[in-house]
Amino acid sequence: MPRLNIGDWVDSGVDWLRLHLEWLFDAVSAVVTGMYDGIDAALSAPEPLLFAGVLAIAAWWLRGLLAGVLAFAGFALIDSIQLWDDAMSTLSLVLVATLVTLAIAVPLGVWASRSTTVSAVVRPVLDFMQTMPAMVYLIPGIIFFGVGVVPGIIATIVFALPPGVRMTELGIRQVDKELVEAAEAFGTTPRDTLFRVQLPLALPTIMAGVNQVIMLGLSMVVIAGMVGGGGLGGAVYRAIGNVDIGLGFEAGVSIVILAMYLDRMTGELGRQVSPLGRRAAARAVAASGRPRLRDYRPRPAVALTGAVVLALVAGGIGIFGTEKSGRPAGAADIGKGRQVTIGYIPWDEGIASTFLWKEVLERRGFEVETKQLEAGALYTGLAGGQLDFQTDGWLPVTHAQYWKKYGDRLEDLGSWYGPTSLELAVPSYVDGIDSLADLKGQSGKFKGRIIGIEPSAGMMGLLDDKVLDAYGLGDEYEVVDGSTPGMLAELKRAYQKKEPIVTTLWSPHWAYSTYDLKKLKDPEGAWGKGDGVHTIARKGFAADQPEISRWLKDFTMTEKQLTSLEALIQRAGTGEEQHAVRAWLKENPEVEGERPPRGGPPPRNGPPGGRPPGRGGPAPSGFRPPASPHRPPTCPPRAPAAPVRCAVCARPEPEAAYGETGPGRGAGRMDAKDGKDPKETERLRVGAAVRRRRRALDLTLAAVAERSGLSVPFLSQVENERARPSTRSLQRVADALETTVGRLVEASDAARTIAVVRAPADTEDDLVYARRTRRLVRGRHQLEALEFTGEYDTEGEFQHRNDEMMYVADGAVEVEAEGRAHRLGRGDTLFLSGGVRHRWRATVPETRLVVVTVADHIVETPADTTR
Amino acid sequence: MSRLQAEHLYKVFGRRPEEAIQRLEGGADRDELRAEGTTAAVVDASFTVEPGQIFVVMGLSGSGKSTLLRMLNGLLAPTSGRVLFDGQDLTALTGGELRAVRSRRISMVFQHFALFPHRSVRENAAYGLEVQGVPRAERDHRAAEALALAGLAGWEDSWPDELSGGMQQRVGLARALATDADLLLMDESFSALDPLIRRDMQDQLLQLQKTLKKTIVFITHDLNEAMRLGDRIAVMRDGRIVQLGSAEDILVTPADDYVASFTQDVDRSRVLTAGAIMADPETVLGEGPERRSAEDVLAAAPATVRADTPIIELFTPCSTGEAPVAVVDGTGALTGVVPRARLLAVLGEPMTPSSAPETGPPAAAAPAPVDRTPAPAPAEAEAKAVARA
Ligand SMILES: Nc1ncnc2c1ncn2[C@@H]1O[C@H](COP(=O)(O)OP(=O)(O)O)[C@@H](O)[C@H]1O
Ligand SMILES: [Mg+2]
Repeated sequence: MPRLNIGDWVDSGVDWLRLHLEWLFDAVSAVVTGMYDGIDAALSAPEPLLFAGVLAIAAWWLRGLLAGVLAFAGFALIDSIQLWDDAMSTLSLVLVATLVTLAIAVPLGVWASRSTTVSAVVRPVLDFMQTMPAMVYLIPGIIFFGVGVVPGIIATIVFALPPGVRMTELGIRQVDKELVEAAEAFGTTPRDTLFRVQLPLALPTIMAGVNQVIMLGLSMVVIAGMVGGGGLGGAVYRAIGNVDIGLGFEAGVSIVILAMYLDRMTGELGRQVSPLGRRAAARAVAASGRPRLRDYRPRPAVALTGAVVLALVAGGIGIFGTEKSGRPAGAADIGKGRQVTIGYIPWDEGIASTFLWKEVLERRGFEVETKQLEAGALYTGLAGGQLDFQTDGWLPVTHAQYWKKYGDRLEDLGSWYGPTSLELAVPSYVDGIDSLADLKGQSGKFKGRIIGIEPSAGMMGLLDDKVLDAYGLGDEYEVVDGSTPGMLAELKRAYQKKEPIVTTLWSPHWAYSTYDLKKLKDPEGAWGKGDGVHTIARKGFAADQPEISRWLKDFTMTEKQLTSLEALIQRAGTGEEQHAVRAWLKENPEVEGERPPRGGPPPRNGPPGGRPPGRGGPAPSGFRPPASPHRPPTCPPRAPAAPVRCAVCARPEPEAAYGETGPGRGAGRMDAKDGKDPKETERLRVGAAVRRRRRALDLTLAAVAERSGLSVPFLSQVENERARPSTRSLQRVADALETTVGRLVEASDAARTIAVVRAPADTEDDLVYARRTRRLVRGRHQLEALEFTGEYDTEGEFQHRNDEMMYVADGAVEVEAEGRAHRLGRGDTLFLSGGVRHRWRATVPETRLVVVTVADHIVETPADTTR
Repeated sequence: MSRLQAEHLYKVFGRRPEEAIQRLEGGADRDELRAEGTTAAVVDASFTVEPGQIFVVMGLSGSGKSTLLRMLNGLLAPTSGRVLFDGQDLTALTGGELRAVRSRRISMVFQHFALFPHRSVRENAAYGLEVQGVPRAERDHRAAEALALAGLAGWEDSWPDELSGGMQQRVGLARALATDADLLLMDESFSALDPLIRRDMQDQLLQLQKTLKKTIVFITHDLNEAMRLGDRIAVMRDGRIVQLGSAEDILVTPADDYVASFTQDVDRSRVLTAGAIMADPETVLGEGPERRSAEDVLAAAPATVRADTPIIELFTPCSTGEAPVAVVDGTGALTGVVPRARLLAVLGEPMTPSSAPETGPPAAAAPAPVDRTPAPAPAEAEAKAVARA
């Protein structure tokens, strides 16, 4: 079965759309943003409690006194937990999404109800739209519309459209056929039939659809929060990122209050606007007899007047009552109110540095907006220019794929922290475990578990593929997939009970300053070298904001500074980041002082708590970058900070391979198509080796089954290569056969293969300057070989565990190995033993270089050679 | 000129309707077509309706009555054939023209009333006028009039869901009457009502008809109702009109077993009239010395009745003597006699066409399309109808 590259097609389709329909997306974005801004401005202008009153009157009118009181209490609660603005943003988002959805869904539903063809076409499309996980829509959403509320709204619309269309269609189709016929029999035109008979009678169903649309919209706001939708969703997303139970609960409760209010109100509104609903209500009243006070409702006119008066008062206070908070005056006001937007991933060092910069820049007179985003969205937003900079770019490894994709639209302002490291950590009360090697034989202590994070994170792959093997831990420990918050929660729980625990962790991390933890040493260097944490700006930022980019370039933090700030923020809780930063700056004035915007001594003990107007000093002059060993201003990804797996060993197509796989975390969802598992093929071909080994040991299938605990049929399928054993099963088979997985895999590769790879049939001319790579060994074997033609540059340094040899068939190559340069000419060869760090480039265009390596999956097993 | 005339109407649902018609004309069976997923709902229906007449179409469920009716006002376009309404070919009209005809000149009353639940009784009754664009004041006035005619004065401000079934149908009737249309199409309009109310409604309709003189096409599956209301009755079976004639024709000379099976449980004594069963006076003249002339017969008769007297009224007179009851016309001249033996005979099984007395063809009858193909047993037809329902 050939691999259908559906993902690639969609990907290139999306690219094509982005290029050719940009005007359309811009227009949509402008309209949606305009609607959102308008509604949001209107909703958040009034004084919260007055506006809560307006909403309560609406509830009273629609549902009675009790509902009104409850509504007021609910909204007052939202205000008191300081989520009012977020709630209003969310409400605006839901309202815009609902309006647009209905504007599309109702006509479409009407159309579908009148034509079976349309209905038949629309139905599967709707099914598809609704079943597709809603998050998937965010990806093209961001690419088309940039980060912010628009992709969130668009994703919400797409997600909420199906019930709108369905319920409209259903409602109209449900209308008694005889009634429609009666209308026709009296000569009603189709249009009048729709408006006078079908729609009024379908209204209850349509309103149920509206209700569903709103509820789905609300459920989407959390997801929209991931791409900068803000509002309560953003709060929830922040809470998840920080394992902030309190904020999570508060934001969650606010969403529930909004949801209940909208649900009950639209439900009742549905009854009120539909003639049938009014009829039913009138009958109910007639049946129950005497009206009671509890049921008293203001008449619509009274309610409307009350609401309007309250709204006017509220609006008036909102507009005139609050002054914009002042900016620093005088010399400190370098920003002069210029807007800067910082994006961040809710990783702790990202939050810390982002709010540090927000505070610093605000002190210097800039207006700073921060947006919390998912990693992919963050880079897209920067590349699209919706964000100005972010401070959490892990380069060159972890974020290599983003850099590769967007690097040409970004500016690297250098690393402010580094090197980062990945590690396993244990609490310091766990005695006798200081190094990864110490974990061996101790699995009983840790219940055989290593608490991991998101399985998609590069770090997890590295742990599975390399680290466990390097220390022989694979058989003993199981890596528990989960999430970062989950890992941290587990760490907290175990720490409090003083239970032994081993978790994946990385530096910098606040956990190190909050808990007393040991980073397990990695004598084998299995984790590889770390990244630098870079500040990355959109293209042109340095030219637009020369001061800021200068400050950013000179920015550095030590691990102590960073983790203490992270811990403080963590303790302060979400929403209080900036307070924590202010408190921290008081303790660590040198950090801000390091980048004095003003001449003279920086105010080391400047007034705490923010940006008092009038705080200032002499005009900026004599600014000098500190003599810190930071990176050059722009750091191309080729900067050899960490060894990347060699293109030749890791991936068959070198062009695609550079910088694509890194050990770090955060690869996120967007790299899903990258994840072809090299083991896949390996597992398939291992059957023959298993059988040979079993026969060599003179064992029956039943004997192996008994030893391994696997079933005979399964083993037989494995041998016939009709089943793919998991790594774990393969491990059991290997144990049963008194060998290792590595050797089984090796043996399976020894199947006899003879393969000719012909020279390409190109003409001489084509060959000369074409930059091209050719695989000389097809399939998966011990040896790999590639021929590089044309001007090539590895654009980075490599290190791998097996030997490599290169032969210059033509032209000239410059190789740098362990810091020494070697020039190779035609006919020269070079041998590099495993572990040597190296890079190379072709110096003339007509170069042809053959590189032969021992494949990465081949593991030396000296102990086994006797067998 | 007749008000309404149907000429060789066909309606075929499903694929390739034209081809199906050709095959039907070539003698193909309806069941044959149905097997292929094509339903011939109405097959070659022709009839005329005179102004002021109540024309009843009767048949089991699924026999195509509703389909036929909907072709008469263009709700369904005939697959073939023409509908002439006051000489105007409805099948040739555009959508707009057809709507105009429907809104002004033809109205319809439905089986399940089809009142708009979101409109008050007044608004329902005024619906047709609203569609015509009549100003509010006038249409409220006319709606109130129509409601009064239907016996619902004072209920204008109620809502349909507050009314009983019979009252709801009166609203339906008022809605149809309000537009003052010449032609009223009623599709099983009383079938959903319970028998007592149904009878009331029938009476009311007949009462109204005396003054309004509308032309009515009335669909029913109930023979008693057909007999009560119908000036002329068409019996449909499997899409075809199998018999066309007066109530007496159908009772006395059913065209086939199918029609006969309908008439089995009819109360003949109330439906049949003296005129329908009377024998020629000649047949009794000279039977004895006392009956030598018409005058003798008249003198001897235990009762003298008109032709439209239901035969139920003849039983008592007949039981009192041997002499036949005399039937006279408006001038008192003897037109026929009903001997006791004949009276008893008609209460039994319907007569075969050959043994039926001469009743003469109905006035202005179109060539009655009498289906002579052997009919399935009535039970079988019934079962089919039930299965379809
Ligand atoms: N729209 C339609 N599509 C297909 N078949 C139909 C349609 N309307 C009616 N029929 C079929 O036509 C036949 C006659 O139906 P109808 O005129 O409603 O019968 P009746 O009113 O006498 O019960 C039935 O077999 C019915 O199934
Ligand atoms: Mg019917």
